[in-house]
Amino acid sequence: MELHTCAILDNHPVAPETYQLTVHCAAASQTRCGQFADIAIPGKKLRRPLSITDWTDNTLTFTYRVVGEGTDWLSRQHQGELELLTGCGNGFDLTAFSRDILLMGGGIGCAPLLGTARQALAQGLAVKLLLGFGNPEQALFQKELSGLDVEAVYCYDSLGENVAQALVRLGWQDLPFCACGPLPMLRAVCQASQAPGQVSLEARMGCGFGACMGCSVQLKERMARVCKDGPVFHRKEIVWEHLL
Amino acid sequence: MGTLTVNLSGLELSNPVIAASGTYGYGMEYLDFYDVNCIGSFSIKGTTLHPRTGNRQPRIAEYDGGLLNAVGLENPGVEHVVQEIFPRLQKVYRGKVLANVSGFSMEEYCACAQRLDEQDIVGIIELNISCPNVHGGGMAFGMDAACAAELTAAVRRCVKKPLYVKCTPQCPDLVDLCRRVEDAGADGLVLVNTFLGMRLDRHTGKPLLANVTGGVSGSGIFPQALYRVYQVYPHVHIPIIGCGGVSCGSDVIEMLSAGASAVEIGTQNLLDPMCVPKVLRELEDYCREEHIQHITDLIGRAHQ
Repeated sequence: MELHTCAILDNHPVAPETYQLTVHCAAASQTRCGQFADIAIPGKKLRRPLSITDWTDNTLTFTYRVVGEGTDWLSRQHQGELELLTGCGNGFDLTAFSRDILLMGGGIGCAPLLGTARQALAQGLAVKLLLGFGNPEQALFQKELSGLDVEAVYCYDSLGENVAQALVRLGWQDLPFCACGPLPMLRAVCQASQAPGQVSLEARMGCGFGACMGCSVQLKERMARVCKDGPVFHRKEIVWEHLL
Repeated sequence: MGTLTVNLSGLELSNPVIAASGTYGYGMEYLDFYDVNCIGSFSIKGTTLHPRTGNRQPRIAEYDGGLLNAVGLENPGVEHVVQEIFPRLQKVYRGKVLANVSGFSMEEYCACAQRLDEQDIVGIIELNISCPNVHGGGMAFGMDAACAAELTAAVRRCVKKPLYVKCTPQCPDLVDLCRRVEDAGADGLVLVNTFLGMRLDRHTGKPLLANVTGGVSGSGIFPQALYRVYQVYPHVHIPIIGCGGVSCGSDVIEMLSAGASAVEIGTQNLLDPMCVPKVLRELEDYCREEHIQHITDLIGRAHQ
């Protein structure tokens, strides 16, 4: 983890209430897709953890939804600098995949999956994505994914199909997966799939670097801090009754 | 003896800055940011005899002055701390720690304190009778002076190392409790733990914390915590560690002036992981600019 002061390069809407932010930042401590950065918001005590959508040697890109005063403030920043704590969390472990990978996301939980898809392709994996949103207007990354050698399927609550239902319809229950999204969606895909999988959890965080235990959750055999030990855990470790 | 050196019941610290329990993990979470050997000391995560999973999520909320937490003493239990965590910590940290002990019965407190007292890395036993986020223990002992004194005396008989009692500001007569805790054998006091509070969701009207209430911390409570130290100092003869909302070097100076011999910093570590090195620089600058030879000269000067 590192503290950085980063210049805002771009911050534009990509869907209703949803923005994509790119900052200039030496991404040295960014080692895995599925990690996050903690962004300081002036006037707010807690930094806001935002999932990293993609990164280069000197930029970080985030996709985030406006859910409160902090992200609302962020959405109105088009220049200047932000203070970031980078390299947070463990991220997805793509070395666990040998041939196929299915990336499943729900809503803003899709944010880390673009970079994950690129990393998986670079590793030679056959990549499928199953992305669910409330309605077609909210869909993310359609243009970016169309330029990649991946099979991407979108589903929408407004059209009567969620991610778990689409997973069954497509017959992809045997594909090893990474998933990120709301807890009910994560539980539903874990119930529908028989394959090994990694899920990225969300929690209200305090410090973001493992000191306060504010985001700890009870797993099958241990307590784990979502910010430091996670946010990604193997599905076998999750006891849904403890989380929902 | 350096300008910033302080002494707590025979334990010499290179400076008066101690990280408060629950905000510093077991010391290793800050290694990405600085060498933790620069700190005077730190208090380990509140430890109980048996492992505890703590409260449900959400456990954290914020307000303009800081944070509310309701972690609920999540910890892996004293045996895990002694056998797994301390050996790892000793590889990176050369100082002594304050071992924060909590419990739900007198026997539990004593057994946990005794086990920690045996450890080389422990310099002070910090008896936590002030956690507001557990039911039937913690703060229950800290609300009643007779209870607090009885517990202090019991733990005193079990441990050889200096025993400091961390008190709750919720106590209706803190001065009386501190006096009786001193009489019962405490070597020092930590004033104070978090204030009880809550936040509600502005859309639903429901509590933001799953535990409904939480401990209020951060710079917003500093004047109240400072007052508790000022209030108790003339009535006891044992050192006080000032705690509550300390966020910068200037706050440390105020705490010492009110009567503290050292200061714990909590929430500010979480908000700014570089807080400790910044505060130490501010203290060095202050002593140089004000021509202060020993920072201990500031202790209690508000009362002179």
